[in-house]
Amino acid sequence: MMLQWRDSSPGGKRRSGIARLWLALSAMRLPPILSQLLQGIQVPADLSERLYLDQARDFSYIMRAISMVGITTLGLLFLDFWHNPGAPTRCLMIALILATYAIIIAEGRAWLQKPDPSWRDAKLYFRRVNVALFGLGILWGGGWSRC
Amino acid sequence: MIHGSPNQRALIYGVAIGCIATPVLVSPSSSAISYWLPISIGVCISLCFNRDLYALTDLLSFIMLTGFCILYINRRLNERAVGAIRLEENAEVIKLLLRDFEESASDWLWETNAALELQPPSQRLAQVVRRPAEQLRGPFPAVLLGESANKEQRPGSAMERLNRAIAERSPFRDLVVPVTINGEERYWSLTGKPFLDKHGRFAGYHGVGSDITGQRRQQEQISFLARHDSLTKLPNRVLFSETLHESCERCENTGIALLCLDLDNFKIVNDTLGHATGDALLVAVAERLRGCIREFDMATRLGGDEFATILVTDKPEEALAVARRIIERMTRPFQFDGQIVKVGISIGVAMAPRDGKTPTKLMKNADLALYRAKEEGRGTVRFYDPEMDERVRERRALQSALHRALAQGEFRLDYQPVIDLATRRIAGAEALIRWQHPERGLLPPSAFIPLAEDSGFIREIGEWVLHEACTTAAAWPEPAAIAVNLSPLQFRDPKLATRVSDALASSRLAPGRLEVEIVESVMLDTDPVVEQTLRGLRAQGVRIALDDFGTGYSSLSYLRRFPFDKLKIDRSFIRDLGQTQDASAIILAIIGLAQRMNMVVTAEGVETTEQATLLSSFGCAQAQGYLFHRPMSSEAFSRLLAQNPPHPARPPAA
Repeated sequence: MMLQWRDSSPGGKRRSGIARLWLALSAMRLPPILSQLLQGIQVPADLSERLYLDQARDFSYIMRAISMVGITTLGLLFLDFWHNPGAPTRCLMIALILATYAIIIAEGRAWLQKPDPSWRDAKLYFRRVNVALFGLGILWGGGWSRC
Repeated sequence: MIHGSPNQRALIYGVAIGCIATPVLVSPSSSAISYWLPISIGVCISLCFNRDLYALTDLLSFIMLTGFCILYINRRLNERAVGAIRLEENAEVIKLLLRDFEESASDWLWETNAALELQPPSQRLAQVVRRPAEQLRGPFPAVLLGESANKEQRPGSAMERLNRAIAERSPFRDLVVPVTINGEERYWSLTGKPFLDKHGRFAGYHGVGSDITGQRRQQEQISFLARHDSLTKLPNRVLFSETLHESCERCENTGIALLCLDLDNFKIVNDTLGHATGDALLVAVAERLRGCIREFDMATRLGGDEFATILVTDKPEEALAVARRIIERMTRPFQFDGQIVKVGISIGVAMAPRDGKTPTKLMKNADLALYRAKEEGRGTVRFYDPEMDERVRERRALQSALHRALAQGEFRLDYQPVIDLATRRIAGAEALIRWQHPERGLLPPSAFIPLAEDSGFIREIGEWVLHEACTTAAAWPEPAAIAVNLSPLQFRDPKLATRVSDALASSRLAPGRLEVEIVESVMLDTDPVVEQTLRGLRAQGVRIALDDFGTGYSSLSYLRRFPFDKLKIDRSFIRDLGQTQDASAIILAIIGLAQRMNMVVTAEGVETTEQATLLSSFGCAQAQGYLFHRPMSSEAFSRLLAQNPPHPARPPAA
């Protein structure tokens, strides 16, 4: 099926002209907004450590919650696809994802229990969890084709 | 490629969407993107394999939206986090500053809960109220202010305003309230503001307090000094005026007596014994004055040696009794550093409303009465009499006539001859001024000279006398001398010596034939101009005579300080000569003193031959009086001189 974008009536031509103009203007405005968003905010040097530690604490709680939801989803998928063919590969994928969630939960727990954490500890924690999240993303992204 | 039944595929899509959306919740963005990016790419690739264009397009737009949200939400979260941390830090700094302020400043912070209990009382506050912090429990402000919280509740007072503000839960600022701390009365300035909880209900007060006792006492001291005399601590003219004004407003009901008091001879004490003794005398006088009046009466120092009292009474006899008591107490001798000092006091009384209802009129009438008291011999009390006004009017009329008199030539000089007792010949004459008043006739100097001195017109009159006398004497045969009386006020004129020199030059009278007569009070004037003028006259060759010797202040130190040419014994001693031993003894002493100091002595007021003989035997060189000649006109004196010329061998006044 082919999408019909063009409208040959005079009113349609006018509308499509306005739409093109709007799109062009939006497209022009998008790059600076995105650039601003990507740059993030400039955290003052005296606050970065405090901010990092606060973020790490909140991050560990959120990641724990996301991991719990993710594990539950995995359970549902496992049950729903129980009778489908290709169970060994699927089970392996589920097991890997489960393991990654477990790692994320364990990292979070370890972080929360860390006595007197420093800015460097927080940075390390983020780095480790980011790696785990990247792996989790690949697993989830590539896993659909294995279901 | 995604396999399975349509339901399973729908589940997978749902899970995929959920997975892509989840990073929106994650912060920081690096972590969110670490998860979002691979999962988005993976899902897109899977959908590409399925060749599902609509689903892919939909998913791509969702991926873009979530990507945008991840960045945007993270940015906002970071901004808020930074703001929150800044706020927290600022709050911390403020708390530290407040703690610092409380520890180092004289002020302190206070806070109450909704039940108005101090929360928690700080150590600083405990120090200020000198009680342990545990004892500071109870309703504010009573727990802090002690007994003062219950006293001072009169409407409009700071305490009443504080209690009202607290009852109305409204803010209050810089309310100065009295506080009793360990029995000591102190003053606090309190500022407070109510604060509300998150539901908008009153949660208590917080504020600041400071001990302003020192400041308050300074203000009281300043206020006291502005209304009291710093020396005697009596109310000053400002407070007196206010009180007199208020008293006059209600004088119809209560009646008041205004007493104006003036110390007699205070100037002499000040000049002879020094200002320190003068000040001590004023303090002692003020103390005695306080002892003579009731608590609700008022004694004031108006300035110098002038005092006043306001008595709340409508009975003149009561005012008289107080005035007499004051005179009696003031005439008792004072003692300072072993020196006995005696002064008197003259009092003028005006009664309100009888003698006036306004402060100005009452004051004027009391002043008139005082003037009369001083005129009538001092040390007395006089009540205001409407006739006094008449006298003042007369006095004013005479004063204005004085100015006219000089222009219209109404003054004239008479001359009383001075006789050389050894040769019984005329040695010279004393010039005596007379005023030929067009209505009152011939007036003696005592009738107008004090007026001229009061108005300052004495200088013009004195200059006229000097010129007239010199001109007249220049026509007399030598060595006849002319004596001219100079007022003490003329000696305050730094140009007096020049004026005398001008008079001598214009009349061509030899300076040695002019004799200026001064009274003892001139020598008591500490102004250096006086001594400079006397020395200037002496340098010109003018002779200086001390008039009325023996009646003044009997301070002989000035005889050493300045070499006079002549002493004139006052007529009061001559009157008693031959009748009392004392008079002879005093005259002998004066003559002895004068001879040893190389001064000539002239006896004034010689009326009998016996007096002249005695004076001659005592060694008195000259005399004047009715025994020899009465004052006469210049023509008569010229004729007298022609008949009886002065002894040519004798110097003019020696």
